[in-house]
Amino acid sequence: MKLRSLAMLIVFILIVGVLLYFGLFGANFGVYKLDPLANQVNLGLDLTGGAYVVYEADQPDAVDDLEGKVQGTMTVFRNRLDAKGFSEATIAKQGEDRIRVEVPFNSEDGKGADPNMISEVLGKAAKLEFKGPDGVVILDGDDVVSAKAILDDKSQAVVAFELTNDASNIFADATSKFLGQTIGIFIDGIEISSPTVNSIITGGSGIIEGSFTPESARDLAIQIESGALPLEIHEIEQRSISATLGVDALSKSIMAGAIGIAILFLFMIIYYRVPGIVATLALIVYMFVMLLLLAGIKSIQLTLPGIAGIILSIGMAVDANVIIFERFKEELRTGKTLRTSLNSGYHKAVRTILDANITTIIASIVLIIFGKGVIKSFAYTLTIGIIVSMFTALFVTRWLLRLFMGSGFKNKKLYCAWRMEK
Amino acid sequence: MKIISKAKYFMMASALIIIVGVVFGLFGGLNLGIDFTGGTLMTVDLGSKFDVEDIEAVLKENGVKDAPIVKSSSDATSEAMQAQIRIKDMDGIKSEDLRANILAGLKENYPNAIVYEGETIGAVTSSEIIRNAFLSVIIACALMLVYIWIRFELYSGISALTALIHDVLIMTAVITITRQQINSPYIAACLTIVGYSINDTIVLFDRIRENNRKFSHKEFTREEVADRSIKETLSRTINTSVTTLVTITCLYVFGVASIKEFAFPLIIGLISGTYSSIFIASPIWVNLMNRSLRRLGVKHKRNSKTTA
Repeated sequence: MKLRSLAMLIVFILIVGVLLYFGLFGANFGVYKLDPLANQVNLGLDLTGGAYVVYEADQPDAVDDLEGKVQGTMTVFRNRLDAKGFSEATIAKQGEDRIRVEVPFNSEDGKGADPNMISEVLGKAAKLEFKGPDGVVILDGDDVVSAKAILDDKSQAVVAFELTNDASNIFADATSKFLGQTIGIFIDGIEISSPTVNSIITGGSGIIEGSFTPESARDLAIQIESGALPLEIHEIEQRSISATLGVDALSKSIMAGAIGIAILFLFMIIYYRVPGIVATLALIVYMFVMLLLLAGIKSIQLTLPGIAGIILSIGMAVDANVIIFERFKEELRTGKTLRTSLNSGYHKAVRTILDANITTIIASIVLIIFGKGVIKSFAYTLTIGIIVSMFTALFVTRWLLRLFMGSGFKNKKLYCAWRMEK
Repeated sequence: MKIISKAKYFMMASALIIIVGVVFGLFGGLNLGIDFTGGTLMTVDLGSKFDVEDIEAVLKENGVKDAPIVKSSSDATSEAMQAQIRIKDMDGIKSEDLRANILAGLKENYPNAIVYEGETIGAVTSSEIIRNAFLSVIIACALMLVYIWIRFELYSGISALTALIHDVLIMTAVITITRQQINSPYIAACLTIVGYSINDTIVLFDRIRENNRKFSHKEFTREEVADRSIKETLSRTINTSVTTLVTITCLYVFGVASIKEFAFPLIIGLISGTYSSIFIASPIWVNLMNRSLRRLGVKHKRNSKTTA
């Protein structure tokens, strides 16, 4: 019995050690590669650097089919972002009339992190219009099937476009009507070129000349192709975090957490001795489970307040252990044996821990439902943290304490230190 | 340990802090951040040492008036190369254009300038943040009161909730006195303390509930029961508060600015939460209990003796 307990204890400690090692550093078994769990955690913008912008529809009450138009705007956003290489960007609808665009900082190409860049890509509606010399609009962006940047024979960047069949006919008529005159090409009401019509264009394709660089020609092509936004929008919220700040925030929080936890472990072991060691092991299990959940549930983003939530829940995990140990000690003082004290102490502690944690969970679930942004992410990790910490305190700590007792650590002084004499 | 009998001194001490906070608030105002006022906050890293006048000039070109500029550096050892600019919401100017123009203007003198951190909050968003925060606190409190009512009794619920309100008031008072900025991290900290402090109070009330049954109304006064419960849970209270305080203090000491903004009110709240469980919630419970016992006509054997 004694040997079995001791062996289980050693195996448990080894497993925890190995899991923790793999979790933190990953592993490499020939062809199978295990990424460190820590790398799979979905980090928020404040830890990677990046930017988000929230747009709101202008006068949403006056818009017909708001839902469809918001959806349409999101599609246009997606096209523009993809075309610019921001494939990691997320676009989400917020409430009825808002769109939130998040662009994480991409360490490979250094993109993102600059909200002005996002605004430039998204916010600038490229409303293309062809106007005759009389100022009447002949065609607009909706008539364009495709647009792309090419170099003309003089190596000058131009935008080539193709029109729909219907528009081709209209364009042919217009070019015959205005032969020898100029047709203005307007983007968002600004004339960017006014070519003279030299011949009737029937093929439905043409080029826009202007003083373009290859880069700006490409931008314009993208903008023409994705069309004007179906909805008038304005920015209501924006936040940007440079990559340096993001990385700094992450490393500093990890360091703060590590130091805090190290002090905590030391305190627990010195104050509670064997139970302190048990609490330390249980907390390591707790941290591993948290890491596993954060890496596994992709919808949860770890943000700076989220880290604070985890650190706070560690405090609560310690609290559950402290409640158990104090009860255990009280029972020991009445002269009961180790095992009886553990059972009766546990029995009494469970009720306290449940009541205390359920009230906190009530508060944090309310925050998940009603909180926004920062507060929501904090509440998520806090809720998960409290649930996991209750599990480790109620099951892992108890099981480990029994193993320790079974392994021959039977001196009562090991369990409640110098306060036994009282 | 005779804590309950001295309760009025503790309550006076708390009231004093809150009154000082109110006085500071009335005369100095609250230091509200952009989450509440709306506007733009830009921290620009200029890439070298800089003159505040240069930034002021650029702001002036863009029509920005009375925008406070604070010099800072990313870490304490290096020279201040960053400027934090706070701009009020301006009518008729798109914030995205304004930010782009300011950065472009700064780049004329400081070609390496980048936006280190930036935030724009519209007036609509800021009023939503406040409304949401109030709503969540009220709903959370109501639900917790119901839970405690069911699991304990109404008096425990009322006392615990009073302690919570006390904690939030103390936090706000200290923040006001120290002129710390109030932003959403502060709201998050208040909400955390609402959750944490109740946890602390529940552990104590759980012991009171147990002792309340064990020691009959006829033999013992409720003061004795409360004092005894406080004493029995004291080492747990201290150990838990100390361990949580240690981790949060580490965050405050080593964390970045936005974490500090969260950790500071949290530290105040943790201390206040522990204090209020013992010195505010328990005496209120005793008071409520005694009133109801008197109404029911329960008499102690050692009649008028109110303290043990």
